[in-house]
Amino acid sequence: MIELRDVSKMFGGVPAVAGFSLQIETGAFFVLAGPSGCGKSTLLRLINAMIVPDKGEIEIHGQSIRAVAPEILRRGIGYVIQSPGLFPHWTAADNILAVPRLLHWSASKCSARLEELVALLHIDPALLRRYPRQLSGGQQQRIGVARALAGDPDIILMDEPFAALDPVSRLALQDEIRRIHARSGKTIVFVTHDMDEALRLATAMAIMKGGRLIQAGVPLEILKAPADDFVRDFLGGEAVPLRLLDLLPVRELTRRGWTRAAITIAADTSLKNALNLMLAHHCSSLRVTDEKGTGLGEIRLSDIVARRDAI
Amino acid sequence: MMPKVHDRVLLALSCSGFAGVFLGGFLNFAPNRLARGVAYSLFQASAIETAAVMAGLCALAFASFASGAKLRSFVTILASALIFWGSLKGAGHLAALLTQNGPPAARASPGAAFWTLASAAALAIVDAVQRGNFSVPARGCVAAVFCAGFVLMGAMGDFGHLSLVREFASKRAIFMPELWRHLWLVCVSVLFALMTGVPLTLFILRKRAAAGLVFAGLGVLQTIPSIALFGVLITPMSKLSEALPLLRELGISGTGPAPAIIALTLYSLLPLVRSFHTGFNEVASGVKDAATAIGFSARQLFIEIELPLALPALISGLRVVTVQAIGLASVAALIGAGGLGTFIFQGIGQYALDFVLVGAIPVILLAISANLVFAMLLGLARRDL
Repeated sequence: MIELRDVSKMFGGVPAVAGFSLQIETGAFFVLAGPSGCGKSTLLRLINAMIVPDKGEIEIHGQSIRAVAPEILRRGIGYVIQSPGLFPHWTAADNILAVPRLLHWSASKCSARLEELVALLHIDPALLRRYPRQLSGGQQQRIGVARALAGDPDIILMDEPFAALDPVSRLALQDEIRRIHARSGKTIVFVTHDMDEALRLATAMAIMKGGRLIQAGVPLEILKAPADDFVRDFLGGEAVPLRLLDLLPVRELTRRGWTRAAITIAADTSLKNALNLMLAHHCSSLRVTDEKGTGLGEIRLSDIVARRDAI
Repeated sequence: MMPKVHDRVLLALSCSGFAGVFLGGFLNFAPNRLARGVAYSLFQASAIETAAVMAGLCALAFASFASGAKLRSFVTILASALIFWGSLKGAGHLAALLTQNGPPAARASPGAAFWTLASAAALAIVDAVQRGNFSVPARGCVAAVFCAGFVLMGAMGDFGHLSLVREFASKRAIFMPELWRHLWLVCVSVLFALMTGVPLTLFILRKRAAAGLVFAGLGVLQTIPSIALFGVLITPMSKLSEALPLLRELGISGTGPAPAIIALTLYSLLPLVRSFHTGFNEVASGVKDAATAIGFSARQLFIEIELPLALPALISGLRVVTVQAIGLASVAALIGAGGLGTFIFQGIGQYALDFVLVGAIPVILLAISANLVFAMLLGLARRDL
């Protein structure tokens, strides 16, 4: 667990983070969201001691981060930034193995870890001998993520890692990182200003403004009950109901029983997908099935529209 | 239809070569050092060498119209070899012919046409090598072949009758010590510049506010004319040497190598510190940030990331400083520091142009070879970047 208690940091007389308290549970995919300059990157850099707070305490697993030398602390925390910051004079493989080598792993352990990461992140092994300038933006960021994971850290900090990528690479990497998180149970703290990305990835999130925490919680709860107009606007204003559909499964509004609907949808897909399918096929109901394909019932357009939790 | 010119530089070099041949004297022949000489043209040299030079110039002109870059490089190198060989051999033979029938004090020195041809050939080769984007070993090969040819001709005694070579032969006993002295002055001052420049760079990298002040101070030093700086150092150095017997025992006084080395070191500081400073500052901040954030200590960051990434800039700085020191060290002869400048200033004093060249040509060759060596090192350092 990462715990921040009453943390403040000023830059040139301007508070970047002010009286900030937050708990991030172990195993969470925690998204820090907020407009540019709200202090979310500063908060991230406070956690790995890249920035020392003026006031307050930061603890990881109940131990103050000041108890260890900063470089030792950082070797146990993965870190990914927007411009991947790969070392231009090292090959992709050497970049990935930077932390294991700082930790003095044996050569055999390093090469075994490299193989694992190549498989985990679907990296083309031919790329490993190339230098960063010979890689595309998406490939570079994949290497950047692999470098952050290489030392097998419990915690990974990601500062708008996919913001500079094209939509296709961004979606692919979002899927990879969500899959890796689900499989490994690592704690990920992820900074973004992109609401779609935040809602797609977060198991918990916090919204910041002017260095202060405005609202924290599960994405669905925040969408259902924004703390104030700022949060509502940041979540998309008028588009919030549509965003909400993305987080709710079809299962919740399924009516049991027989259906005449011809088009089928899985119970685990989101209501937004159901709506999409209805629009695509010009119908107002769909047949809902479970993962084995057994019919569960139907979902109706009128039920989606009349949802009680609609804002 | 007019054929298209693909390389204007080659055409210009070829034209200047032709102009030199037809307008300037190829060899100057004088009965003694003071008498006015008679200019002989290239066409008075033996036919085969004249033909080689003319063929080389024509080939150079032809190459400038060739569209293929590979063909152009190949023809250029071949043509330059012909011009080089023809003019060197031609000058040697013509000098031998003239001096054998002339008085013993007769002097045969290369004239304007010779120098025009030699420099046109040299520039054409450099141009061909650069445009052809030759690899470092290939450049080394081209340079080695030309040097070997030159040495071979020298060994065969082809140049023995040129007064420049006779002057050199008569000064051989004092030439080598002065050459070593020159190299020693350069090496010691560059070493001292490194010893002061590196800590100074590290200091202004940490204290950014001090950088402006340091650069302003070094800039003032750099603007002082070299002879003035050598002169200015004489008084305090001799006072110091009078006051401290220890310094006197070490041979440090107002004139001689000590003030020369101090001046050369001071001149080296600005280019050295500026290029080192830029080199380290230009390492991308994202890269440094990422390295720190994944657990590099300050020492590891410096040795494994900043130093290798700044290396090309460091080598460039050393290159500038070394080439500059080789040139400036010749002026140091004026305050008795020795070196190749000794020949230059003695030659000027005795109104003996060939004597001046005995000092000047090695200085030029030293500067060019130092430049070449650093260019190769730079190529190696940039390989992974």
